[in-house]
Amino acid sequence: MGELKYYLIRRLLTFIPTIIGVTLLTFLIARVIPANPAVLWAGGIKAKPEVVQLLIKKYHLDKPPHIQYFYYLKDIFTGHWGISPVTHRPVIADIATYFPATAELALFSLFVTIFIGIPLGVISALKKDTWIDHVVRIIAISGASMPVFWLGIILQWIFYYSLGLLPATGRGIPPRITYTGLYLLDSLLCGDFEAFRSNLQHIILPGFTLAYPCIGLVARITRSSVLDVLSADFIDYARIRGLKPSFVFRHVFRNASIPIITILGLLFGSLLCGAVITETVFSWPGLGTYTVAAISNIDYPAIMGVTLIIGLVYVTVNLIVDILYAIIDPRIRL
Amino acid sequence: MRSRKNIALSKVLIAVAVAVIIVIAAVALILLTPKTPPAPPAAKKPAAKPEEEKPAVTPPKKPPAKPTVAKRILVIAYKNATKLPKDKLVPYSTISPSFYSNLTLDALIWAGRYTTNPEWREVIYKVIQKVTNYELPLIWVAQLKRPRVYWEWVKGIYFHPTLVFRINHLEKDPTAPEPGIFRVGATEEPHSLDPAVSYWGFDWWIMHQIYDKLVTYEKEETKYVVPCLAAAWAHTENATVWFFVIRGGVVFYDPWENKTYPLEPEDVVYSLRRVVIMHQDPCWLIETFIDVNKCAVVPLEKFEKIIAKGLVTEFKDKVATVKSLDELLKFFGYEGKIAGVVKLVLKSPYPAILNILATSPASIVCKDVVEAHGGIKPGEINPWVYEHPVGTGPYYLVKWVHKQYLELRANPYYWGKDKPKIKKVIIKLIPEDETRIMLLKKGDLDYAAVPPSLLFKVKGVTLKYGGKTWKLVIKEQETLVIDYIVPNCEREPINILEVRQALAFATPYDQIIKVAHGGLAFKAYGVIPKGMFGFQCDDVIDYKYDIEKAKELLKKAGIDPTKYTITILICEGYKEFQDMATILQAAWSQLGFKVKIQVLSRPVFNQKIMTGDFDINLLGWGPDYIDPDDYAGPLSYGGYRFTEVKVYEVKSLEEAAKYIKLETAKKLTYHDWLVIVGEARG
Repeated sequence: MGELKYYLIRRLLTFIPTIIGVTLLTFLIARVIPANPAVLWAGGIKAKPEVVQLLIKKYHLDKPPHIQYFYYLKDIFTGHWGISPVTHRPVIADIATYFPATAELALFSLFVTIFIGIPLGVISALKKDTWIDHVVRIIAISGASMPVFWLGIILQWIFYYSLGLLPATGRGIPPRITYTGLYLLDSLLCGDFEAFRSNLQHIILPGFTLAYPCIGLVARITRSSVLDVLSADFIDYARIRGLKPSFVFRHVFRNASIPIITILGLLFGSLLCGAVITETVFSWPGLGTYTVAAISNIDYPAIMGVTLIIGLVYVTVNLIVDILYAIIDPRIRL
Repeated sequence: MRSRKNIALSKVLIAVAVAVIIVIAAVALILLTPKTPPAPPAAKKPAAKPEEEKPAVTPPKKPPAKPTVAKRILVIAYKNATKLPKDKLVPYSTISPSFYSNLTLDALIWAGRYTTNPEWREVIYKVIQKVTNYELPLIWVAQLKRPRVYWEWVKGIYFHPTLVFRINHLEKDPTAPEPGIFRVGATEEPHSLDPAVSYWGFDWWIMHQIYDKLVTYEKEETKYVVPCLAAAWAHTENATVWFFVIRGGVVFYDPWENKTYPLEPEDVVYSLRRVVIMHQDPCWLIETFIDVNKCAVVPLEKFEKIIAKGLVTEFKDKVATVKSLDELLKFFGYEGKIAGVVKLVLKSPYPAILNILATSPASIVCKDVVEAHGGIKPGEINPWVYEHPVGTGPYYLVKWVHKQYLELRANPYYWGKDKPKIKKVIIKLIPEDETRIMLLKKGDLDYAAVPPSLLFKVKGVTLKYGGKTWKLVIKEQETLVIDYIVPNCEREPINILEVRQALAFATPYDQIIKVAHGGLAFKAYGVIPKGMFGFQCDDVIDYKYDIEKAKELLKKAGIDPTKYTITILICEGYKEFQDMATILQAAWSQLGFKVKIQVLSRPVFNQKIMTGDFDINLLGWGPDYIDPDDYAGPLSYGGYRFTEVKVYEVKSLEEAAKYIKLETAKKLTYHDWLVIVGEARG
């Protein structure tokens, strides 16, 4: 286990330069745009010059970029993520409001992807070139080619407008007590089954819309990597030795899981950063639409806050993936 | 054998799957395809010939005869005109967005702003309309209509240009779905529910349900304000000191503490001062006109002494001089209790002050509640008040679940005579138009925002519910919003008047109205929109699409258009301006200009238009308050400052010469009025 510990420490140390690099790059990119955000923040063309000047001073826009970055770092380390000049709320409060919604949707979609995508992939590998394999291929191709907003609206049209089975927009009712902000989990934890039902109903359509392109992708990756392993010598050897098929399959799956975990890690990272189109179609109060609004308004505090969070999410997910690699494949720890 | 069979089977399966996908896509396409085809792209359409030009959607009255001999003369005498230095010129604030500058127009704008005589004021604005129509500091294109879409089970709906409606005036049919709840579908999250902070129309509408102001408008009426938290008002002869008698028996309801607080005159002074000290986006509305440091609560005995000397009061069409509080209250027909008197001191007399006091930033907040939650900090927002509004209005906020919905409930302590009949309001925030329309069509929303380009999706929609067939109502509402072309008057060749006029004649107004606005607009003539005090279109040039005339004007200007490239800047995300730019590109190219279109993100666009780095840009303007000064000032002001501008009505030119230097003065006419603008004597 000692190796794993050193490996982890090594990985954790790479966090710091990564995060600093990401924030610095975002900061510089946001600053080089020849724009006048203060006018926009103060109400666009109706903004009065005095208010604009006040905003310029408050957000240090009159200072050179490196000084602005210094102020930013100082604020981050003192726990002040700034107040968004657009939403007029502390950025940290905004992120705390929207991130759990995104996390819930991402987790739900990931579970849907895992529980549908992986079995489909395994089955299609085992039943190569049968109708199941073809169906999975069609799902994968349609998932990759179908525009998400179109799928979302079609699902709404079928399940909300025509059949009246599921709600079309928003999150469900908040549970009595919120621990994590993930309403499904919280409602189970506090035994509020009405809230659980409502939240499940609300998350099905956006969750499935978001998961659909991932299901096909994961199924295809699973299929090809299972097929790769199935044709490996050690599997033939295990079979020749007369090992039980279930035992053989454990070896197959463990060896095939590295690429699957890689792709799941990447997918989860991108899902956690918010799915703008799905969030917009289903009025899901997540981080994606917040981020896009922040970018189009050049809302510096919000952009930097979101960058930091997304940076942290990515490095954490990568770390988890790496740990899983190390657990699954001990050679990586060396 | 087995593998061949498998291959055959797989081919069949793929074929079936492809067929299924095609069928699903086709069905979906049929279901989602608009019933009326959308307008074809503007660029490909040949520009309409002059003879094909049809009148605008709501044609104005045709010009009568040319102005006759002036019977009445108005003299506008200014002193010490100085132009602001270049670094102090801010578009939409101290200079017109086109950087156009005209001393006479500035003197007229100043006169309009500070003259209290309504008759003179009206003439001044009508002349301003004429000047802005001729000089074209901006090329006026269209005044917009807004579609309002709601189910017919909502009764009593009306639309005011700035306040929209108050929900306590509405009713829902008892057989409608969820009759006790008014369900609104909105497009975006409110920015703030603090009246001192928000400068957004949607927020102002929500706050209009929760807060009261001193004065307000009676439903869709725009001409006069009526008493609200002020039961009566009066002012000194020079209209710089105003007294407002505060209504008694009104309480603020704080739903978070479930407590009520009586409305005190001190709350009024506190609210206005708060806007100025916090210095947020809309603060100029108060700061520019009211000297909040001099505003104070006036004890009743003191007020009786002040009023005994005589104060002027106006309400609707009536004007009177009153000498006692009783007389004042009687003038307004008020018999209830009063809470006290507040004195507001203006920086200079401003005829539109009551209209300003009817806007959202002038909402009255509860001093005790605000002070208990952080008070006022200079230049800072108050995070508590941001989402915990405590007001005296017909509804109170129960919940604001960010990016999802707001819930309002009827205020049980509401003082007004129109008690809320609808007890609960849910404002759902649905950014996607298609989704919002779907909810509306299913009857899960009573009233929803529908963009003009998607109106065809809600036309003729009905719903069977409760044994009745209900119709979805689409009401086209005239607004005060005008769209215009901003020509940079500091750049060649647009700085030449004839070139601007040529561009105005080469603008296909009807095509723009039809394509860019889906017919939901009508032609604009000058800086003052139809429906606003001071509007006129009977003594203006009616620019109509006429390429020959435009070419003639260019010849007169002595320029060769083929030598110039004009770039039209537009802000991304505004389809109407994108369509308009494409139409203008096609039309103006016919004059010989090389016309380019550049779409920019909003912050970059702002940077360019604010620093004058453009040839042409396209934008629109809506009202902050209902007064022509809110249009004439920001849109056509030329950056001049005066130490004094005075208005006189005189009988003859000889008499006018007593006030101004007649030899250098500009003479303008409107019907039988002659308006002379010049430098004051002495």
